[in-house]
Amino acid sequence: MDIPLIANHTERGYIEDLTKYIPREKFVDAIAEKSLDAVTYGGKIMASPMQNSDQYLYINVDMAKAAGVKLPEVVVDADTVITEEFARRWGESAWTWDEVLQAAMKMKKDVDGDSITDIYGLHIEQAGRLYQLQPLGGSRGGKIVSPDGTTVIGYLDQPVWYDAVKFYGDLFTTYEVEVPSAFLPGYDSPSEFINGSYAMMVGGGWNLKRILEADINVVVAAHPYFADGVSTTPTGSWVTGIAKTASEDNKRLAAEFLSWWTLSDEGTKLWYDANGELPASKHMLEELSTNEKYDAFPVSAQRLGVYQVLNTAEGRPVTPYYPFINAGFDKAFTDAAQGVDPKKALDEAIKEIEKNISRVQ
Amino acid sequence: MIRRTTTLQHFLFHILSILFGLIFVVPIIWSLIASFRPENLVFAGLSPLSIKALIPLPFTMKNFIGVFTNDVFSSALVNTLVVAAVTVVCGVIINAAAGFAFATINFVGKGILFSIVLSSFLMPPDVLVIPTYNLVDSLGLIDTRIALILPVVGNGMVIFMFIQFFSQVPKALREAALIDGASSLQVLSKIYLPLTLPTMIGASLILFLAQWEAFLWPLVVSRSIENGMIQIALSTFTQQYGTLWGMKLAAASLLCFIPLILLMPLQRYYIASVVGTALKE
Amino acid sequence: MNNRLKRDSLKAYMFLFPAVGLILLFKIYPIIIVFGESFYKVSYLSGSKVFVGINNYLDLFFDRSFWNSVWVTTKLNLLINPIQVVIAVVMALLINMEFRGRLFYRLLFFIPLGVSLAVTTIYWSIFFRPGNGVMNYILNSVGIPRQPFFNSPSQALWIIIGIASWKGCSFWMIFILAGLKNIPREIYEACDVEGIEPIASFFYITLPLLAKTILFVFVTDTAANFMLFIPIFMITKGGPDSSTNVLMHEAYRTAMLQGDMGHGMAMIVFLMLMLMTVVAIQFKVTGEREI
Repeated sequence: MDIPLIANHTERGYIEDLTKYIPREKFVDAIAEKSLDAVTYGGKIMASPMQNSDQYLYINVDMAKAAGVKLPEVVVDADTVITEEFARRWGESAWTWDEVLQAAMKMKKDVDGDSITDIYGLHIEQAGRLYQLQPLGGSRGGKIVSPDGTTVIGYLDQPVWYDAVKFYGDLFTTYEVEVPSAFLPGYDSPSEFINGSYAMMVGGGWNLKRILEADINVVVAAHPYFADGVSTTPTGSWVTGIAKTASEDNKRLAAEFLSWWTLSDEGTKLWYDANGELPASKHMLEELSTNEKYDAFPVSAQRLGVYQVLNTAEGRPVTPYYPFINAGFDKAFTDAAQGVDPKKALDEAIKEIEKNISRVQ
Repeated sequence: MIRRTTTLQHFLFHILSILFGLIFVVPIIWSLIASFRPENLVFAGLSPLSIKALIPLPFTMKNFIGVFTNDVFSSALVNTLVVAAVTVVCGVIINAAAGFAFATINFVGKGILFSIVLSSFLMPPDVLVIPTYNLVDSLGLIDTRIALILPVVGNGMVIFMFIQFFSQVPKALREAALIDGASSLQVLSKIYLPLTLPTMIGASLILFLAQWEAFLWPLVVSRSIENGMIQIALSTFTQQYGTLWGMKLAAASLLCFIPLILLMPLQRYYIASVVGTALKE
Repeated sequence: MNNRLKRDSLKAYMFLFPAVGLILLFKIYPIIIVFGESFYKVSYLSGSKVFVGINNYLDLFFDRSFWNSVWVTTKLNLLINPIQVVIAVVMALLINMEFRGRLFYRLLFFIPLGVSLAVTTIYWSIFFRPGNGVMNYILNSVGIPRQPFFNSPSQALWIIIGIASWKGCSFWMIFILAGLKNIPREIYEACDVEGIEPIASFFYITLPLLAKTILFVFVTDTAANFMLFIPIFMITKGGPDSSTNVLMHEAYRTAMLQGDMGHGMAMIVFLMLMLMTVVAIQFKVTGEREI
């Protein structure tokens, strides 16, 4: 399951407290602190993370050059050796959203002059989705839901979120730098980037390998932030819990496997080598940062992910009503991108969220 | 005067027909051709639009091989064929039996039962998907093959088709057989069924398509891979980190061509059955 | 005699039992379930069920997004049913004409019968990509500026209608075609002799004789389109700005995605009543009491 569903599945009695089967110390020893916090609900560890996620700004260098756009000071390409020190400088040279927008405006292009844009300036990967867009408010300190998870009033209805929705909507409507077909089912962000449909992508580290191996000239910059805010980045990925309805024997077996898969040095290494996504285990993060085996590009670029997880990552809201909030958040940002007045879009979405929560309490 | 009108009519007829024909045929032809291109060239020639979109080069079978070796899709294909086969066989038998009873036997409550059957096929099935989910849940049948089959097998429209057929067969034929000492079951199997082949083909096609195109019901009732149905399984090629468009279009092409291969030679029966229920009371 | 009827009845029930039993269980009993469940409230977290009387209906009465979806459903049907019937009639007239190539065209016209709505939706969602999609290049080549299609609250519903009609018209055409075949050819021959124009003969002869068939198609088409769900579920999810959020989608979202069975069931009840009313009106207006 996805991390934000932990609260939901715990409250609805779907998943079991893992410390009944695996000692808490084992988790503390094996899992990075933030990742462990993310799977802890009501003081209990309800799931174990298999991996984590990280976000970058991918820039098509040829398009940047053609448009006369100067790249951020510190970027990663295939020849970069990534050390801890480098990762820090890289993180600190991130563009502000304003700089990203300016660059996107310059790189947008109508190649054959038929008034249809052939190359868009910027695409933010998971169009309209909470995971992807939370930093648009989070960078300026915006929170989505109350600490007890039962209302968004006083949180999602703050000016910072209205600005966030407006900023996102303007990318599509006012500036026309974002890809309008991004909301269609199956829009394949990485392959469209590789095909040159747009010049810059804010997207997951899971694309690193595919993009850097493709035959285009790309650099990887840090995730953008707002000038009057701080850098925050999406985080969290798939986790595994144990179903409450399973038989006691099966639960024990599952716990044993889960412990090996997500907590042991051997299991986490095997999983990482097979699937290659940013790990959540301390041991693997350490390995990744120091072992020469991972010095080679593009795997080495994940050291940037380690930097992110330690410095900028901000998890999604913790609430049993996450599905309701997720749906409303998506609707507000998607509507704004499709030309609805941003204020109206967010107002309506908040009303929907509150209505839906109150009806089933 | 008359000749000129005919030429003009000819012209209009062909223009309009070609226009409709193109609108119908271009999407599936394009999808078939595109699915023979490698993944990164699936959308070649679409923007900007050029003839390249309709040339299957460079040619590859990779997408079709990928579709058949994809766990989710291939098990959904097998499951759908099994579910459809069971639905067709059981559906034809039990609906024919019901149609036979309505058409040939006088019994208590005939009027009420008949209006229930009639109203059941005027009520579009999708409206009842959510309460049917509740029902199937309370029977403990969520995510089973039976749950996919049972609600579709008993079909008012197919019963209606058989009622019409059985009431057209001369009564004298049946009475002669009964006098000879044949049982009702024998009358059904020896006299009626051989005559009923066209109706049976039509009924089979209707039931087959009902399962082949099922969407909303499997969407709510099926969870595991083994119980997947193909229209839903199409979405397996859209994953969290991207869409395998080559495979998706290859799968979509398969989903079109299998029923078309069945429908084209048998269209006569299909049309006669569908239309028959509507126009002859 | 009475004994005979009893014996016959028993026999009939044996034949009827499997099919009619399944219909009673899966087509009639669920109607009772909908009504029953619409009076309960289900707690999202604990799953407990409480009887709340007509509260769910009262909630809907004051719910703007519910009324919006009622309006979208109405609008969709006011547009899609006439469009589909007219296109189906045109298609049927075309392939009913005695021209060369008729059988070939007929084959083409039947293609959508074998293409599921889900697949249809995938195809047209590719062609109608906003921005630099195929349709925009075609429009551009005839001098029409690019359109937002699915991204526009005023266009999205029209494209949903287009997708559903691509799939639907061929099916309804079959019925009209059968209706046309039932009109005796002698009538047209008489027209030819009298020198009546083809267009006049269509309006004065064909159309009146087709009225019954067209009414049937109209009613059945309406029933089907009240439940239109697949393209909306697959592409727009009811957006943009809830402009394609038909009642069926709203009910699905409420009951299945938010686990709010009570309100979802109340919506289904409303949808069924709406459908029955519309069908009743259609019969009344056209003065037909039975199909």
